Amino acid sequence: MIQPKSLVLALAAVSALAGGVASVSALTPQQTVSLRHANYEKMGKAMKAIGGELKSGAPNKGVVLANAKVIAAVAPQQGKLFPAGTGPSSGLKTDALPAIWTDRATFDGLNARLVTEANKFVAAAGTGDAAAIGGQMKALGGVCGECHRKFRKED
Amino acid sequence: MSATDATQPPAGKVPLWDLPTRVFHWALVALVAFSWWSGENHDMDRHRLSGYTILGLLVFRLFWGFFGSRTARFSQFLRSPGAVATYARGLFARRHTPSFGHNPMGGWSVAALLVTLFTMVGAGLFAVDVDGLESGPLSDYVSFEAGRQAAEIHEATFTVLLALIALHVLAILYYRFVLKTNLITPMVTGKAVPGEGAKIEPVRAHPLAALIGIIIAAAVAWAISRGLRF
Repeated sequence: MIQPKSLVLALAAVSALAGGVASVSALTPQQTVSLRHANYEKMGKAMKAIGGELKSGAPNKGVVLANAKVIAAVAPQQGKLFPAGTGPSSGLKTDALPAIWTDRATFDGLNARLVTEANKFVAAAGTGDAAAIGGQMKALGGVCGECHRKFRKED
Repeated sequence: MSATDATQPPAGKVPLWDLPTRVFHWALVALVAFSWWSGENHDMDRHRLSGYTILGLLVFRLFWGFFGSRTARFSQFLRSPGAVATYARGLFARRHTPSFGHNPMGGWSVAALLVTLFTMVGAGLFAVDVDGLESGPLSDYVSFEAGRQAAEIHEATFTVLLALIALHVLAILYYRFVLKTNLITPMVTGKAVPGEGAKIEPVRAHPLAALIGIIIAAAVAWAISRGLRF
């Protein structure tokens, strides 16, 4: 589907121009859900690309660093993209669990850890050391997994 | 086949399933259960290991379908639609026509199980989880989207597999309690008392053939587990 994707890109561009945070409240619930979904997909894609580099045994530092930066850039946006009215009870297609809105402190805590670990991942990528990258990838992935188990519908 | 082999007294137990076929069967039962358990518990290192072992078993079974003993061969148990229909009519009329080896319906059930398991393992090799963190050994040959698609197929195939296993177990219970035929013990001991009128044929696994099959299966599973990188 081309349309939703270009919409999301346009939204991302708009949100960047407007200084990110402020514009989120201007999004419709559907646009919010689409944007956060596209963002998670970006991070998943970047993670997989880094995983592929690690599997090769000799990771390309440039590829790893570029993808780590993608994750670090997207991560801080995510916590704000779960306003009230964008959960499953809204009728929108989302795997977000209602627990996000009933246990917000835990959810926010995990989002904060996501940002911290993502930034550490960029630092590790900068060293180019496969063991350091792999280690930090596990730490970051641990946060993804923990949050998904608590707040995302099991696939 | 020598004449003495073919004329064993039908009263006693005769070899029905060779050892490799039985080991394959029960190892598969255990590993499918373990794969399910490890997958549910996000223990992906062991889930992958279990999958590679299943892949090895499947490759071996494919090989054994051509070079195994009589009752293990595809040519022996994949029968024509006509034979299946005739057998099915008798079965539902509770008239059991004894088969030596897989019966015409059971043979196709084995084929369906093998195809489903190959599909499941194949999709798993390319699968990526939603975080892009855990993945099959061949996943870096495909895009994130394709990897997610593979994961969907991997999961959907499991439903098909569960249905086939349920059918398999139900069939065994039908034989046991309606047709009064025990199918489980022969799959453990390898021996069975042939049914009245069953054509007995010699069942012997050639050790060298088994060895070659094991080497091929292990090599394929190992190479794929390494993501074809050496």
